[in-house]
Amino acid sequence: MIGFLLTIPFLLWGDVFIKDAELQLPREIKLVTIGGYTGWEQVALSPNGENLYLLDLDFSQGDTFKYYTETPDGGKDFRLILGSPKSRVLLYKGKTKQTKVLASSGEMPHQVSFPTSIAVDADGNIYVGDNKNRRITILDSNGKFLSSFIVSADSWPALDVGVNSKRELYLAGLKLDPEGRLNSGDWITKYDFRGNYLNSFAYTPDIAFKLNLWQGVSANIEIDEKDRIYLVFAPEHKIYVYSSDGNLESTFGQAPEWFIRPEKLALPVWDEPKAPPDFWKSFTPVIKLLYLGDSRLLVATKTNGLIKGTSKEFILDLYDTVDGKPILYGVESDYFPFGTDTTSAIYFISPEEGKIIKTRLGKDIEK
Amino acid sequence: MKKSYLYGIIIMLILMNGILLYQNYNLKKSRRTENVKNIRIPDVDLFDLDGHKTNLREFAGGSPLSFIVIFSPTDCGVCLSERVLWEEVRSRYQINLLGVASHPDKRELIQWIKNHRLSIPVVWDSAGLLRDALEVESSPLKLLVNSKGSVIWTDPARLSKEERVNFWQELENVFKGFD
Repeated sequence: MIGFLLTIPFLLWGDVFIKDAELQLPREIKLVTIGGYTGWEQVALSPNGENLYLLDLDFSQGDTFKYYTETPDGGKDFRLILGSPKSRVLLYKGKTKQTKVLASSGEMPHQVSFPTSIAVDADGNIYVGDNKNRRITILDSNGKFLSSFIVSADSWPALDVGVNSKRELYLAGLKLDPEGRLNSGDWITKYDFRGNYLNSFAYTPDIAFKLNLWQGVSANIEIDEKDRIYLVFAPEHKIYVYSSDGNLESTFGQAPEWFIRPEKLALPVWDEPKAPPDFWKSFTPVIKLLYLGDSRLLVATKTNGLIKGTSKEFILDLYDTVDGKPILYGVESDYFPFGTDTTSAIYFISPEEGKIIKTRLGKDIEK
Repeated sequence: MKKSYLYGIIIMLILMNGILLYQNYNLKKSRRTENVKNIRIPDVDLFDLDGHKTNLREFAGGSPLSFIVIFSPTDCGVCLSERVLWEEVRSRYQINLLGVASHPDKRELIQWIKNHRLSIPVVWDSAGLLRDALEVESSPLKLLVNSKGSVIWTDPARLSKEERVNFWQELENVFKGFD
């Protein structure tokens, strides 16, 4: 596996995830790129667990602009820098501990500009969703450019990318309904490997209409071994399960106790960006779906420090995808789950410590 | 500022990026259209996606009025949704119409046109010659040019249904004025 330092197993989160090993990443891999911004969500793992693929965004360089907004805890303004950061796709080889640049910053097909999503298929090919260039770039496992295509004109750039066993791509991001409301349309767009548009599905749920764009435009997807697609809208805490053709098969998921239904919130609007306290107390988005195999889906939620009873950065739920029932619920974690390998190991990342942690499910949790 | 707060806000702001670009587009709209009027399109050769040459001046000279759309597949999605207008201009007026697409990669451009079933004739302006000559800052931008190649009317992206309805009226007025 990736070249881990420790091999002594011990319990990491009670008896849920058992740590088998950990790896300290080199300094050149910066998981924190601006202020407190972390790039750990944009990490993918090769199927054999030996290579890490990372999106490196440097907001201190590139075509960027400054943006002022408010804090959730008192209205004190602070500054963010957005736009087109200097961007790279990095490969870290655990065995040799070498870092290689797979794609540099730019507008050409083999380059990236503000990539926001990355996925790896069963053969190790890498799929990068490029926000600024509105492009999907496909590389082989060594970073050799294979192909690219521009995403649908009607869509937001891919917020998340999933690829199934047939190398069909599913892009999460709103595909506007030309006859619909501003934030309505299909949320998953399907392409083949060559970039041919196939279809779109997952129409905006009612909840999005009750939210404004602040919350309504973030979604994550995951694909299981039967090519079923799991979709979650960040603030909704509900998992939609689709067939590979886009037919809704089921839904499951349980909103946490702190979650406030949007109709009960006085939501911020564009002209008045100051969010009410209740907004922040409820804004705990689901930021990752990770299929572990054997009908287990891990759901990671980001906390924000305003939720009573939680002190960790993340909360993890584990669902049985057959009946949709939670196996584990509300497991607090300092670490973020980002990948699995062919041995069903589960990999976490610690952005603070720059560490990768390899785990396995505790025996009580295994089927 | 706690890092966790910052994370949530940045995620939202990333998603706002497209909207901010659109707002920026609107702010520049007036200045851009004023700049372009009365300028002659450049005397350059561009090639369609099958490799056939089109000289822009010669194209304009073939008809009293020609309709040109400057666009890029990477323009904002909402802006590109007006492409239904481009198709309809041709069917309504039987006018000379040409899409001039600036994009660095021809293969991606062809794939994009195929995915969107865009039926208007398109030439590939890989170097952005027309955009540069007219100092176009943002696209799509629609132009009417006379037979000498002078731009007599410009029109930025039409986003709402209302804007698109008004488009036809404005276009009619231009045609009447030209007569």
